[in-house]
Amino acid sequence: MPTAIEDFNLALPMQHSARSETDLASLVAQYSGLLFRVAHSVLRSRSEAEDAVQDTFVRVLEHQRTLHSIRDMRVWLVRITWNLALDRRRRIRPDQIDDLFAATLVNPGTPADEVLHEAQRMKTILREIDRLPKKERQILLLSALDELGTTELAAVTGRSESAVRALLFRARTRLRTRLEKGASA
Amino acid sequence: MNNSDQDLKRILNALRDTEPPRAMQQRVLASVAQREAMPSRIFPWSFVALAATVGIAAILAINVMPRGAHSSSEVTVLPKPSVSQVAVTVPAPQPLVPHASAKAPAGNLAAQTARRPHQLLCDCDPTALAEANAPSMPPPELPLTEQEKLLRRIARHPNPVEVAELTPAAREAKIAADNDDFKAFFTPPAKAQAPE
Repeated sequence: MPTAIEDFNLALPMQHSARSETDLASLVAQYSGLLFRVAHSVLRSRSEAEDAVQDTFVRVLEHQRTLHSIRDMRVWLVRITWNLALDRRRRIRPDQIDDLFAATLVNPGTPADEVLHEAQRMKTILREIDRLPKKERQILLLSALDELGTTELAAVTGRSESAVRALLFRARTRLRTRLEKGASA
Repeated sequence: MNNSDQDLKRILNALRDTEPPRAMQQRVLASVAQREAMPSRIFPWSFVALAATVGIAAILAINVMPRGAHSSSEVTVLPKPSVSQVAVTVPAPQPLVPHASAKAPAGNLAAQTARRPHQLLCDCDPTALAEANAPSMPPPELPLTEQEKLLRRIARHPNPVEVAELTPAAREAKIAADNDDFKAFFTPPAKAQAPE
Protein backbone atom coordinates (compact mmCIF):
# COMPACT_ATOMS: atom_id res chain seq x y z
CA MET A 1 0.00 0.00 0.00
CA PRO A 2 1.73 3.19 -1.07
CA THR A 3 1.77 5.98 1.43
CA ALA A 4 3.31 8.86 -0.47
CA ILE A 5 2.14 10.57 -3.58
CA GLU A 6 5.42 9.84 -5.29
CA ASP A 7 4.77 6.13 -4.90
CA PHE A 8 1.80 6.25 -7.21
CA ASN A 9 2.49 5.74 -10.86
CA LEU A 10 -0.76 6.68 -12.47
CA ALA A 11 0.44 8.54 -15.49
CA LEU A 12 -2.49 8.74 -17.83
CA PRO A 13 -1.94 7.03 -21.17
CA MET A 14 -1.88 10.10 -23.33
CA GLN A 15 -0.58 9.17 -26.72
CA HIS A 16 -0.54 12.55 -28.38
CA SER A 17 0.21 14.84 -25.50
CA ALA A 18 2.70 14.42 -22.73
CA ARG A 19 1.72 17.41 -20.67
CA SER A 20 2.54 17.19 -17.02
CA GLU A 21 -0.98 18.25 -16.08
CA THR A 22 -2.31 14.98 -17.28
CA ASP A 23 -0.38 13.17 -14.65
CA LEU A 24 -3.09 12.23 -12.23
CA ALA A 25 -0.86 12.39 -9.20
CA SER A 26 0.13 15.91 -10.02
CA LEU A 27 -3.50 16.82 -10.62
CA VAL A 28 -4.43 15.51 -7.21
CA ALA A 29 -1.57 17.30 -5.54
CA GLN A 30 -2.36 20.55 -7.30
CA TYR A 31 -6.13 20.72 -7.13
CA SER A 32 -7.39 18.47 -4.36
CA GLY A 33 -7.34 21.25 -1.75
CA LEU A 34 -9.33 23.64 -3.92
CA LEU A 35 -11.76 20.94 -4.95
CA PHE A 36 -12.24 19.91 -1.36
CA ARG A 37 -13.19 23.45 -0.38
CA VAL A 38 -15.52 23.72 -3.35
CA ALA A 39 -17.29 20.52 -2.34
CA HIS A 40 -17.29 21.51 1.30
CA SER A 41 -18.96 24.83 0.54
CA VAL A 42 -21.90 22.88 -0.82
CA LEU A 43 -21.92 19.85 1.45
CA ARG A 44 -20.53 21.34 4.70
CA SER A 45 -19.30 17.91 5.65
CA ARG A 46 -15.64 16.92 5.48
CA SER A 47 -16.24 13.25 4.76
CA GLU A 48 -18.82 13.95 2.09
CA ALA A 49 -16.56 16.55 0.52
CA GLU A 50 -13.69 14.09 0.37
CA ASP A 51 -15.93 11.54 -1.33
CA ALA A 52 -16.92 14.17 -3.86
CA VAL A 53 -13.25 14.87 -4.58
CA GLN A 54 -12.65 11.16 -5.12
CA ASP A 55 -15.57 11.00 -7.51
CA THR A 56 -14.12 13.97 -9.37
CA PHE A 57 -10.82 12.25 -10.02
CA VAL A 58 -12.61 9.08 -11.00
CA ARG A 59 -14.30 11.17 -13.65
CA VAL A 60 -10.89 12.40 -14.71
CA LEU A 61 -9.81 8.79 -15.09
CA GLU A 62 -12.88 8.01 -17.18
CA HIS A 63 -12.24 10.99 -19.48
CA GLN A 64 -8.52 10.48 -19.80
CA ARG A 65 -8.76 10.16 -23.56
CA THR A 66 -10.34 13.57 -23.95
CA LEU A 67 -8.26 15.44 -21.40
CA HIS A 68 -6.04 16.90 -24.07
CA SER A 69 -9.01 18.84 -25.41
CA ILE A 70 -9.66 20.59 -22.09
CA ARG A 71 -8.41 24.12 -22.21
CA ASP A 72 -8.58 25.03 -18.54
CA MET A 73 -8.17 22.05 -16.26
CA ARG A 74 -8.81 24.08 -13.12
CA VAL A 75 -12.16 25.38 -14.30
CA TRP A 76 -13.16 21.98 -15.61
CA LEU A 77 -12.38 20.28 -12.30
CA VAL A 78 -14.21 22.92 -10.27
CA ARG A 79 -17.27 22.55 -12.44
CA ILE A 80 -17.26 18.77 -12.10
CA THR A 81 -16.80 18.95 -8.35
CA TRP A 82 -19.59 21.46 -7.96
CA ASN A 83 -22.04 19.32 -9.89
CA LEU A 84 -21.04 16.15 -8.06
CA ALA A 85 -21.41 17.92 -4.73
CA LEU A 86 -24.90 19.11 -5.67
CA ASP A 87 -25.88 15.57 -6.63
CA ARG A 88 -24.50 14.23 -3.38
CA ARG A 89 -26.29 16.88 -1.33
CA ARG A 90 -29.61 15.75 -2.77
CA ARG A 91 -28.96 12.23 -1.47
CA ILE A 92 -27.89 13.11 2.08
CA ARG A 93 -29.86 14.82 4.84
CA PRO A 94 -28.59 18.40 4.86
CA ASP A 95 -30.34 19.44 8.07
CA GLN A 96 -28.32 17.17 10.31
CA ILE A 97 -25.08 18.14 8.56
CA ASP A 98 -25.89 21.83 8.88
CA ASP A 99 -26.50 21.33 12.61
CA LEU A 100 -23.00 19.97 13.04
CA PHE A 101 -21.43 22.65 10.87
CA ALA A 102 -23.32 25.44 12.63
CA ALA A 103 -22.11 24.14 15.97
CA THR A 104 -18.51 24.51 14.81
CA LEU A 105 -19.11 28.15 13.88
CA VAL A 106 -19.99 29.22 17.40
CA ASN A 107 -17.27 31.21 19.10
CA PRO A 108 -15.46 29.20 21.75
CA GLY A 109 -15.91 31.92 24.36
CA THR A 110 -19.65 32.14 23.99
CA PRO A 111 -21.59 31.58 27.21
CA ALA A 112 -23.42 28.29 27.41
CA ASP A 113 -26.86 29.92 27.36
CA GLU A 114 -26.08 31.67 24.07
CA VAL A 115 -24.47 28.78 22.25
CA LEU A 116 -27.75 27.28 21.14
CA HIS A 117 -29.11 30.64 20.05
CA GLU A 118 -25.99 31.45 18.03
CA ALA A 119 -25.93 28.03 16.39
CA GLN A 120 -29.54 28.51 15.41
CA ARG A 121 -28.69 31.88 13.92
CA MET A 122 -25.88 30.35 11.87
CA LYS A 123 -28.16 27.63 10.67
CA THR A 124 -30.68 30.23 9.57
CA ILE A 125 -28.05 31.95 7.47
CA LEU A 126 -27.00 28.65 5.91
CA ARG A 127 -30.62 27.95 5.06
CA GLU A 128 -30.98 31.36 3.45
CA ILE A 129 -27.86 30.73 1.39
CA ASP A 130 -29.41 27.54 0.12
CA ARG A 131 -32.57 29.42 -0.80
CA LEU A 132 -30.70 31.80 -3.08
CA PRO A 133 -31.08 31.38 -6.83
CA LYS A 134 -28.77 28.75 -8.24
CA LYS A 135 -26.30 31.04 -9.99
CA GLU A 136 -26.20 33.59 -7.18
CA ARG A 137 -25.47 30.90 -4.64
CA GLN A 138 -22.75 29.43 -6.81
CA ILE A 139 -21.07 32.80 -7.33
CA LEU A 140 -21.35 33.69 -3.64
CA LEU A 141 -19.81 30.46 -2.40
CA LEU A 142 -17.09 30.16 -5.02
CA SER A 143 -16.02 33.77 -4.65
CA ALA A 144 -15.81 33.30 -0.91
CA LEU A 145 -13.02 30.78 -1.42
CA ASP A 146 -10.72 33.56 -2.66
CA GLU A 147 -9.03 31.15 -5.03
CA LEU A 148 -10.94 31.83 -8.19
CA GLY A 149 -10.79 35.13 -9.99
CA THR A 150 -13.63 36.78 -11.80
CA THR A 151 -12.48 35.34 -15.10
CA GLU A 152 -12.45 31.82 -13.73
CA LEU A 153 -15.80 32.32 -12.04
CA ALA A 154 -17.18 33.44 -15.37
CA ALA A 155 -15.77 30.34 -17.03
CA VAL A 156 -17.17 28.06 -14.33
CA THR A 157 -20.65 29.56 -14.41
CA GLY A 158 -20.75 30.21 -18.13
CA ARG A 159 -21.49 33.90 -17.66
CA SER A 160 -19.58 37.05 -18.48
CA GLU A 161 -17.38 38.76 -15.92
CA SER A 162 -19.78 41.65 -15.53
CA ALA A 163 -22.61 39.21 -15.02
CA VAL A 164 -20.57 37.51 -12.34
CA ARG A 165 -20.05 40.78 -10.50
CA ALA A 166 -23.73 41.59 -10.80
CA LEU A 167 -24.73 38.18 -9.54
CA LEU A 168 -22.43 38.51 -6.57
CA PHE A 169 -23.86 41.90 -5.68
CA ARG A 170 -27.41 40.65 -6.02
CA ALA A 171 -26.68 37.60 -3.92
CA ARG A 172 -25.33 39.64 -1.04
CA THR A 173 -28.16 42.17 -1.24
CA ARG A 174 -30.84 39.50 -1.37
CA LEU A 175 -29.31 37.60 1.50
CA ARG A 176 -29.00 40.68 3.66
CA THR A 177 -32.59 41.68 2.97
CA ARG A 178 -33.92 38.27 3.84
CA LEU A 179 -31.91 38.03 7.01
CA GLU A 180 -33.04 41.46 8.19
CA LYS A 181 -36.62 40.60 7.38
CA GLY A 182 -36.29 37.34 9.28
CA ALA A 183 -34.69 39.09 12.25
CA SER A 184 -37.43 41.72 12.44
CA ALA A 185 -40.24 39.17 12.10
CA MET B 1 -21.98 46.28 9.73
CA ASN B 2 -24.79 44.57 11.55
CA ASN B 3 -24.92 41.11 13.06
CA SER B 4 -26.20 39.44 9.91
CA ASP B 5 -23.25 40.66 7.87
CA GLN B 6 -20.87 39.59 10.57
CA ASP B 7 -22.43 36.13 10.75
CA LEU B 8 -22.37 35.80 6.97
CA LYS B 9 -18.74 36.84 6.87
CA ARG B 10 -17.93 34.33 9.56
CA ILE B 11 -19.61 31.53 7.63
CA LEU B 12 -17.88 32.41 4.38
CA ASN B 13 -14.54 32.66 6.12
CA ALA B 14 -15.10 29.27 7.72
CA LEU B 15 -15.81 27.78 4.31
CA ARG B 16 -12.71 29.44 2.91
CA ASP B 17 -10.40 28.34 5.71
CA THR B 18 -11.50 24.73 5.75
CA GLU B 19 -8.47 22.52 5.32
CA PRO B 20 -8.73 19.14 3.64
CA PRO B 21 -8.39 16.09 5.86
CA ARG B 22 -4.96 14.70 6.47
CA ALA B 23 -3.77 12.18 3.89
CA MET B 24 -6.75 12.91 1.67
CA GLN B 25 -4.53 12.93 -1.40
CA GLN B 26 -3.29 9.42 -0.67
CA ARG B 27 -6.80 8.15 -0.19
CA VAL B 28 -7.98 9.78 -3.39
CA LEU B 29 -5.11 8.30 -5.35
CA ALA B 30 -5.65 4.89 -3.80
CA SER B 31 -9.31 4.90 -4.71
CA VAL B 32 -8.57 6.01 -8.24
CA ALA B 33 -5.87 3.33 -8.57
CA GLN B 34 -8.33 0.75 -7.30
CA ARG B 35 -10.86 1.94 -9.82
CA GLU B 36 -8.28 1.79 -12.56
CA ALA B 37 -7.35 -1.78 -11.61
CA MET B 38 -10.91 -2.93 -12.11
CA PRO B 39 -11.59 -4.66 -15.43
CA SER B 40 -13.09 -2.58 -18.13
CA ARG B 41 -16.78 -2.64 -18.90
CA ILE B 42 -16.26 -4.25 -22.27
CA PHE B 43 -14.81 -7.46 -20.86
CA PRO B 44 -17.84 -8.70 -18.90
CA TRP B 45 -20.21 -8.16 -21.80
CA SER B 46 -17.93 -9.97 -24.23
CA PHE B 47 -17.54 -12.81 -21.75
CA VAL B 48 -21.29 -13.06 -21.25
CA ALA B 49 -21.89 -13.09 -24.99
CA LEU B 50 -19.31 -15.84 -25.48
CA ALA B 51 -20.80 -17.93 -22.68
CA ALA B 52 -24.29 -17.55 -24.11
CA THR B 53 -23.09 -18.63 -27.55
CA VAL B 54 -21.39 -21.71 -26.15
CA GLY B 55 -24.50 -22.61 -24.17
CA ILE B 56 -26.80 -22.33 -27.17
CA ALA B 57 -24.43 -24.44 -29.26
CA ALA B 58 -24.34 -27.12 -26.56
CA ILE B 59 -28.15 -27.24 -26.37
CA LEU B 60 -28.43 -27.57 -30.14
CA ALA B 61 -25.83 -30.34 -30.20
CA ILE B 62 -27.70 -32.31 -27.55
CA ASN B 63 -30.99 -32.01 -29.43
CA VAL B 64 -29.48 -33.04 -32.77
CA MET B 65 -27.74 -36.14 -31.33
CA PRO B 66 -29.63 -39.43 -32.14
CA ARG B 67 -31.63 -40.93 -29.34
CA GLY B 68 -29.94 -44.34 -29.42
CA ALA B 69 -26.52 -42.89 -28.85
CA HIS B 70 -27.05 -42.33 -25.17
CA SER B 71 -29.72 -44.93 -24.34
CA SER B 72 -27.27 -47.53 -23.06
CA SER B 73 -25.94 -45.25 -20.39
CA GLU B 74 -29.30 -43.86 -19.23
CA VAL B 75 -31.55 -46.98 -19.07
CA THR B 76 -31.66 -48.50 -15.64
CA VAL B 77 -31.00 -52.23 -15.73
CA LEU B 78 -33.21 -54.06 -13.28
CA PRO B 79 -31.98 -57.36 -11.90
CA LYS B 80 -33.81 -60.47 -13.04
CA PRO B 81 -36.30 -61.39 -10.31
CA SER B 82 -36.08 -64.79 -8.72
CA VAL B 83 -39.00 -67.19 -8.33
CA SER B 84 -39.63 -66.16 -4.77
CA GLN B 85 -39.83 -62.51 -5.81
CA VAL B 86 -42.34 -63.35 -8.53
CA ALA B 87 -44.44 -65.34 -6.07
CA VAL B 88 -44.60 -62.30 -3.87
CA THR B 89 -45.97 -60.17 -6.67
CA VAL B 90 -48.79 -62.60 -7.53
CA PRO B 91 -51.92 -61.68 -5.57
CA ALA B 92 -53.30 -64.11 -3.07
CA PRO B 93 -56.43 -66.12 -4.10
CA GLN B 94 -59.78 -64.75 -3.11
CA PRO B 95 -61.78 -66.52 -0.39
CA LEU B 96 -64.30 -69.11 -1.54
CA VAL B 97 -67.25 -67.38 0.07
CA PRO B 98 -67.10 -63.71 -0.72
CA HIS B 99 -68.01 -61.16 1.88
CA ALA B 100 -71.46 -59.65 1.66
CA SER B 101 -69.99 -56.21 1.07
CA ALA B 102 -68.01 -57.39 -1.96
CA LYS B 103 -70.05 -55.77 -4.71
CA ALA B 104 -67.36 -55.57 -7.38
CA PRO B 105 -67.90 -57.84 -10.34
CA ALA B 106 -65.52 -60.70 -10.85
CA GLY B 107 -64.33 -59.40 -14.22
CA ASN B 108 -63.09 -56.10 -12.79
CA LEU B 109 -61.33 -57.81 -9.94
CA ALA B 110 -59.55 -60.15 -12.31
CA ALA B 111 -58.58 -57.23 -14.50
CA GLN B 112 -57.17 -55.36 -11.50
CA THR B 113 -55.16 -58.32 -10.33
CA ALA B 114 -53.87 -58.75 -13.86
CA ARG B 115 -52.82 -55.12 -14.25
CA ARG B 116 -50.98 -54.61 -11.01
CA PRO B 117 -48.01 -56.89 -11.70
CA HIS B 118 -47.68 -55.41 -15.15
CA GLN B 119 -47.25 -52.01 -13.60
CA LEU B 120 -44.76 -53.23 -11.06
CA LEU B 121 -42.53 -55.19 -13.38
CA CYS B 122 -40.64 -54.08 -16.41
CA ASP B 123 -40.92 -55.55 -19.89
CA CYS B 124 -37.48 -57.05 -19.79
CA ASP B 125 -38.48 -60.30 -17.93
CA PRO B 126 -41.05 -62.42 -19.81
CA THR B 127 -41.05 -65.17 -17.20
CA ALA B 128 -42.08 -62.79 -14.47
CA LEU B 129 -44.73 -61.27 -16.71
CA ALA B 130 -46.19 -64.66 -17.58
CA GLU B 131 -46.37 -65.62 -13.94
CA ALA B 132 -47.95 -62.33 -13.03
CA ASN B 133 -50.54 -62.37 -15.82
CA ALA B 134 -51.61 -66.02 -15.26
CA PRO B 135 -55.29 -66.46 -14.18
CA SER B 136 -55.93 -66.87 -10.55
CA MET B 137 -56.60 -70.42 -9.32
CA PRO B 138 -59.40 -70.93 -8.34
CA PRO B 139 -61.20 -68.11 -10.12
CA PRO B 140 -63.31 -65.71 -8.07
CA GLU B 141 -66.89 -66.73 -7.54
CA LEU B 142 -69.91 -65.07 -9.05
CA PRO B 143 -72.32 -63.25 -6.78
CA LEU B 144 -75.41 -65.10 -5.48
CA THR B 145 -78.79 -64.77 -7.14
CA GLU B 146 -81.86 -63.69 -5.22
CA GLN B 147 -83.12 -67.30 -4.93
CA GLU B 148 -79.76 -68.49 -3.66
CA LYS B 149 -79.72 -65.70 -1.09
CA LEU B 150 -83.27 -66.77 0.00
CA LEU B 151 -82.26 -70.38 0.27
CA ARG B 152 -79.30 -69.46 2.41
CA ARG B 153 -81.48 -67.42 4.74
CA ILE B 154 -84.06 -70.25 5.01
CA ALA B 155 -81.37 -72.80 5.70
CA ARG B 156 -80.13 -70.74 8.59
CA HIS B 157 -83.67 -69.91 9.94
CA PRO B 158 -86.11 -72.72 8.94
CA ASN B 159 -89.80 -71.63 8.73
CA PRO B 160 -92.59 -74.00 7.53
CA VAL B 161 -94.61 -71.22 6.02
CA GLU B 162 -91.73 -70.13 3.93
CA VAL B 163 -91.03 -73.72 2.92
CA ALA B 164 -94.61 -73.94 1.69
CA GLU B 165 -94.08 -70.76 -0.27
CA LEU B 166 -91.36 -72.51 -2.13
CA THR B 167 -93.75 -75.35 -3.28
CA PRO B 168 -97.00 -73.98 -4.73
CA ALA B 169 -98.70 -77.38 -4.83
CA ALA B 170 -98.12 -78.09 -1.19
CA ARG B 171 -99.19 -74.58 -0.42
CA GLU B 172 -102.49 -75.03 -2.28
CA ALA B 173 -103.08 -78.34 -0.55
CA LYS B 174 -102.41 -76.81 2.83
CA ILE B 175 -104.80 -73.94 2.13
CA ALA B 176 -107.48 -76.39 1.05
CA ALA B 177 -107.02 -78.46 4.20
CA ASP B 178 -107.32 -75.38 6.35
CA ASN B 179 -110.57 -74.42 4.68
CA ASP B 180 -112.04 -77.89 5.22
CA ASP B 181 -111.18 -77.77 8.88
CA PHE B 182 -112.81 -74.35 9.22
CA LYS B 183 -115.94 -75.44 7.54
CA ALA B 184 -116.13 -78.66 9.52
CA PHE B 185 -115.83 -76.76 12.76
CA PHE B 186 -118.40 -74.05 12.01
CA THR B 187 -120.96 -76.13 10.06
CA PRO B 188 -124.16 -76.39 12.23
CA PRO B 189 -125.13 -79.91 13.21
CA ALA B 190 -128.06 -81.57 11.48
CA LYS B 191 -131.45 -81.27 13.31
CA ALA B 192 -132.36 -84.40 15.23
CA GLN B 193 -135.82 -86.07 14.72
CA ALA B 194 -138.18 -85.18 17.48
CA PRO B 195 -139.72 -88.34 19.26
CA GLU B 196 -143.40 -88.77 19.05
